[in-house]
Amino acid sequence: MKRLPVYIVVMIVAFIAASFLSAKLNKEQLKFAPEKATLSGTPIAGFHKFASDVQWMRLVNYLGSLQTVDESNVNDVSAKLQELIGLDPNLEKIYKDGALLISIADPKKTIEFLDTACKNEYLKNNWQIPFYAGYVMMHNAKPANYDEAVRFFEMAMKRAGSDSGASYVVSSYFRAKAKAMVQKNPALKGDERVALLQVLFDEWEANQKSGMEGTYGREGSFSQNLNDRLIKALKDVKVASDDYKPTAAGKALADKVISRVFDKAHICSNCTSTYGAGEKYCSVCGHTVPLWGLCKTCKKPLKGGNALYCSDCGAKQK
Amino acid sequence: MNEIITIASGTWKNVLRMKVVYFLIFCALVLVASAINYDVLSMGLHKELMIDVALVLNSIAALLVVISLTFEIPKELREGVASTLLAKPLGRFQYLLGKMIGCVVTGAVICFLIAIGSFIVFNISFAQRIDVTMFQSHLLIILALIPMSALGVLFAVLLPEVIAPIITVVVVWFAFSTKFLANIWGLYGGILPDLDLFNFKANAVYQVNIPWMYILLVAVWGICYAAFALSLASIIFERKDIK
Amino acid sequence: MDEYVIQTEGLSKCYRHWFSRGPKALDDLTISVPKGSVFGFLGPNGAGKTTTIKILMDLIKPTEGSAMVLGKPAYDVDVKKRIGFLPDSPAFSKQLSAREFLSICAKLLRIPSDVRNETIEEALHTVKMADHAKEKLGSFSRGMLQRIGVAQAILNKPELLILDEPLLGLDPYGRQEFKQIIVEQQKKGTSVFFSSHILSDVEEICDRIAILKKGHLLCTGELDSLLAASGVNVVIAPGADQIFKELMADAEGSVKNPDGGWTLSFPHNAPPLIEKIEGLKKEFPDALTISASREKLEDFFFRTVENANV
Repeated sequence: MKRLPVYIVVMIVAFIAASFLSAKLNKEQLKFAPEKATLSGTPIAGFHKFASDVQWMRLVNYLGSLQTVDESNVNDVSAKLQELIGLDPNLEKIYKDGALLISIADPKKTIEFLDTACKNEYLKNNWQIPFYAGYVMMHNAKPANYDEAVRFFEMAMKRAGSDSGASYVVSSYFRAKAKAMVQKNPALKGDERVALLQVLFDEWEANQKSGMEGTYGREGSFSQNLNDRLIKALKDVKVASDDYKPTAAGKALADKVISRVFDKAHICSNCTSTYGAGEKYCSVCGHTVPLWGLCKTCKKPLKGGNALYCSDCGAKQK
Repeated sequence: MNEIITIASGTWKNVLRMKVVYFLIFCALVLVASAINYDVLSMGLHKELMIDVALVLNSIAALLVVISLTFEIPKELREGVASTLLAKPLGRFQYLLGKMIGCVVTGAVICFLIAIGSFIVFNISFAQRIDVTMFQSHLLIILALIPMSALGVLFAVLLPEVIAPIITVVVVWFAFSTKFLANIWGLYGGILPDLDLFNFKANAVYQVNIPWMYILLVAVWGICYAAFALSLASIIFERKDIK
Repeated sequence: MDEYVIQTEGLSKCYRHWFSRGPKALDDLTISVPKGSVFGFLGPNGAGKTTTIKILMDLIKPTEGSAMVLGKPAYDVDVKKRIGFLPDSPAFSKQLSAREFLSICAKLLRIPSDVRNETIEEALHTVKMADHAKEKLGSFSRGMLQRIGVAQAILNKPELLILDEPLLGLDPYGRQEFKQIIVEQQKKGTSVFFSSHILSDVEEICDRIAILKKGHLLCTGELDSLLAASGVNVVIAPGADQIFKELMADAEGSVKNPDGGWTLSFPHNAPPLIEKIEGLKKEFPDALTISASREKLEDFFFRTVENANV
């Protein structure tokens, strides 16, 4: 029994060392396995991943037995998805395939699931999840929270980078911004076309302020093909259609945009079509347009409007 | 030290001669290979499933080895094998440590065989190289044998023969899901085992690298916890009458 | 101190069952086993023999008292290097062969590796199990296991052999061989302490005994002094029929001798009868031979155990 004190000392030292290490390692592991913080506390001997695989197969099986996901079964499906997230929050399929299944019957829950996924460190490079969240928020949520949709689309654009789907994400972003503007500004009288033009113009101005001009706009902004978008928005505002009549405010904004953005772009102020050097009338709408690109000497149109020498008289242009 | 190795090698030889062990390894590999057939059922998750099934089966194999230890110690005590051994110049702590090391080595070899087998099956099935995270996850399961075996020894000494394996399974089962106690310093990871520190099956599936320093530190934790559990077991075992 | 290989003082053991205490399995046992002796430890079932032996081997912790083995406390691990021990029902790992098992024991006994194999072969030959060295212990009969048990006990050429029921399960040949082993060990200077129920064998090989009943020590001492002077034997010469008739009525037993005379035995504790015999001896000195009779161990054992008030 003389060994007893030795055992007690070893026990105490080992206890302190183990407690200290455990506390340190518990924090440490969240750096490379952050999902552990949100895992379900269900005692399944650490077989969460395996349980999630099995649960996913069961969900697929269950969904196969449903004709559609509606109010009668949406809670069941939600509960199963929730359980899956608890078991494996990194499983992309839960969000990309699972959550969207309930987007019509329960958009609020869908957004909740997708928002959780947006915060997931492992899925931080996935742009589709925030895009879906923004899309559901804009189209299915009642009432729609456009500011939140903007937040999701912005997140999606940041993640998408030069991905092929990025262009569609950017369109959704501007559209959501426009809807948010309409919601906040009663003076717009629900005119989303004008709001969209204003949003795009604001973006253009922001680009100018930051000194970044060009197709891809200022750094950190999402103004891919901004000029093209502006031209389209200008057309939408200026040209009447079956369901839209141009407004005075819209026209005023359009003129402002044309004079500021397209002063050197030679756009018809009536129909926003571009016109060439030496043209007096718009070839699309017949509206009078200012002459440009003429030789200083012979007053004939220059090639491309900005050639160094006149192809007719050979005079050097400035 | 020689005495400890002798006891450990005795345990190892005993297990090595059990045909059921080879059957267990064979069944594990068949189950891993069968994951490739889950393609339709798993909606394209069969690769992930194969990685995960290999890890789960390896964890179960490790647990089975620990359970066999909780049977073996009481059996040796009951049948008188322990009294023959302890009548030799062998301390009771050395006996327990030898049993624990024997269990760890046996478990490690079995788990290693299952891991290697599953890597081969995976490589044949998907013609893909084995990611380092898969190896790391299997290694962590092997390292988890250290605290698990110490727990097995503790319960084998503390509890009656029939109850010890059951309690060992229950404690190991729950030791992965007690994160809510993590904020109580000393309780979690000090007194109660924190086996979730070894559980990175998801990392293997999603190929998220585990730092080698973490693996080293978690091995040190396992040794510290084993020292704690083994000292406690020795205090109890020193006072125990060997029938 | 070194005169004794085993010394116990006030040794008591009370087994616990959870939180309740059972009856005392051993009560205040004080014995000494001199160096070089063959000590028989006797008692009916439940007397506390195995408990005592297990305390000596530090397998069981005494409730009270102390036990010294080879001059060291019984819990001293190193002293076991000098002891050979055979448990009452030897059980070894069934998966191992006899040689593998002995190899494990040899390693535990810290027998140097260069002489280990030689020592194992020697022990196997001593117990006549060399032909079965490669067979698994699981296939052995009780007697064969007992032999292997003896082999592992003598592997380290111990100074003290502690054997719990070593004759159990052995056939007559095995018992004979075992007794020879004990005698040989004693000649080598090994002290032997063993428990047994086979009293004739104990009487044959032991020089000291102790008898226990229900945990109490009833007697201990040299076998000769315990069994001697327990009575008187009178040999009556052939033809002295008158004397025979006179003593026959009081005799405890009578045996006719091959020469036609008689041997009568009388109890020691009847002084008038002894006086009568001595008177007849004086009167007929050639017809009578008087000698002290030695009691059989079996008789002594039963008398001691049955008369004990415990």
